[in-house]
Amino acid sequence: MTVKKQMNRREIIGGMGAIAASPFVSGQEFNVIDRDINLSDPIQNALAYAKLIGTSARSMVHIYYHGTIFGMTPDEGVKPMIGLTGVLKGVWKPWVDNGFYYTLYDCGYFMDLKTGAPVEEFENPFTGEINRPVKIIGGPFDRVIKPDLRPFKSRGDDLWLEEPAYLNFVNKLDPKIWKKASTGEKLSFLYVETYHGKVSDLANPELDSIPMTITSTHNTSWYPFFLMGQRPGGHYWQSVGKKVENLEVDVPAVLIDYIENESPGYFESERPWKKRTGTFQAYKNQRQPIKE
Amino acid sequence: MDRRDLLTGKYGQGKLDLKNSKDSLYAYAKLLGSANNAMVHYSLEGTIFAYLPNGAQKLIGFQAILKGVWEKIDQDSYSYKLFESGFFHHLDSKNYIETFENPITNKKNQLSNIKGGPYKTVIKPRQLDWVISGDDVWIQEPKTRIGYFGVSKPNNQDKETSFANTIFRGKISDLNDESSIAPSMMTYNYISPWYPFFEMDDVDGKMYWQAVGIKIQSWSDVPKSMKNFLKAKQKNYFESTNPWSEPTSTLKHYRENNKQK
Repeated sequence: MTVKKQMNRREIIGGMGAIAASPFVSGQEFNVIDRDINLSDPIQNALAYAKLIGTSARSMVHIYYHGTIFGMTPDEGVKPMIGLTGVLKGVWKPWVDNGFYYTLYDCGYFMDLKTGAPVEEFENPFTGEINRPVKIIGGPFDRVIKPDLRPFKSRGDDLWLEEPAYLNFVNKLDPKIWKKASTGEKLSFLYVETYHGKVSDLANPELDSIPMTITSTHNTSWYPFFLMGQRPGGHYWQSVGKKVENLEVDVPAVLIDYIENESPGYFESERPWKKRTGTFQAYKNQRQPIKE
Repeated sequence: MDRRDLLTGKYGQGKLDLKNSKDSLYAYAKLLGSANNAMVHYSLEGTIFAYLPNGAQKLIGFQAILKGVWEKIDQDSYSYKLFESGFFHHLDSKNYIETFENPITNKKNQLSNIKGGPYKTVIKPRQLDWVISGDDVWIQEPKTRIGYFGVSKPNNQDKETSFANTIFRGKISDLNDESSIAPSMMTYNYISPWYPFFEMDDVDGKMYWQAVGIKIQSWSDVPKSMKNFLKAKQKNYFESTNPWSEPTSTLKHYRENNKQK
């Protein structure tokens, strides 16, 4: 197998230009699509997952996203807090036992709700204080996709998969030290990612990677930069996006420029950075506890 | 759109300019419902998660058919009436259920059906916050609701907040074509206090409703389990432009049925 460490810009811009039309497949309310693919077969199910979310080939995919974080408290209800946008990078390869392995990276910025421009600070609508968000950066996060029965749903030629994840883990920010940034000793996350594609694309054996749109919703503890302390509530993070088929058409130029400036080679490299990071870790690394 | 536009991905260069409020209104009506007088349906399927202090878990599944009866009033305005009808089901089956062994409380719940509407709305040109990427386009509708979520509406109980966010996705090329209805996918999220029929007033936490569906063309696109439910519980819902006239909601519907028992 030829292992390709880097893609050039032209390959990314060209993206998945070879998408071919396939016959329309009709069906409803089944988890099995009885045409070229059989999603009740765990091996084909894993292959379908890889083609929809990433790629079944040794390659990279990029996913553009754009969304809003809403804050929710029992006393003050719901308020939009800040926007966000970025590009996820998935570096995929076939794995042992009919599985797939991918490494995920994330790079982007929090943005002004009105202008969409990157922000270094904003006024928190709940506290009235000026907050300084960290940059959006995450990964590398590794994951193995094993043969399994994932509950794909379909209506006609539309197919989607909802993938919930529940996370409870120890907060890296000790609430005794990080009094304003830490929401408590444990963090609670409910993520639901919904991936949408076409049955006809999935059934096309010539495609390793098919067009996909995504809707993400995250119900989580407050991000540390909101400085909400242990105030009841949390935030609702929603974004929409898609697998990038053509970088310059699908991703706003301002975001491409931002990422290329923050992480040169992000789009081309299979390993844009080595050390694992995330929003909470980045906050701990970059900031100091705030005294009351 | 010509071949060169397709090759270069210039999907936004059709006749519609989504920064123009009139075009934006037309696109909104066409994506969510219809840019002409018509009735559209969405077939939704989803899961309710119990979001508890020690983590989240799947609680129950649900399906719904949303009905929108759209009318073009003039060049600058549309009106629509929304209805919803649906049911809850076990996580491992799609058939409608009326009783439910609640895994969190270990009690048997007597469920209500999902029923809402008519919700009437008139829309006029306004700036809408479209997200565009290539030929894909999204619009979201966040709505905060403040009200009572208990079995009844006590005078001395504080109102509670819920939050619904509905996202519609379509294609700019579809919005630019000659038809009045565009294909659309809907993602629905709703964060709410416990609904009373789950009998979880003593449990700290909230409900998170998550569903996905698409605009469907005909009765043949309705899932079999939903057909069975509608035939048994809500005859003529799919065909009628006005399946009921008295405004209701799932909570109100439950309370009224509860009162009669």
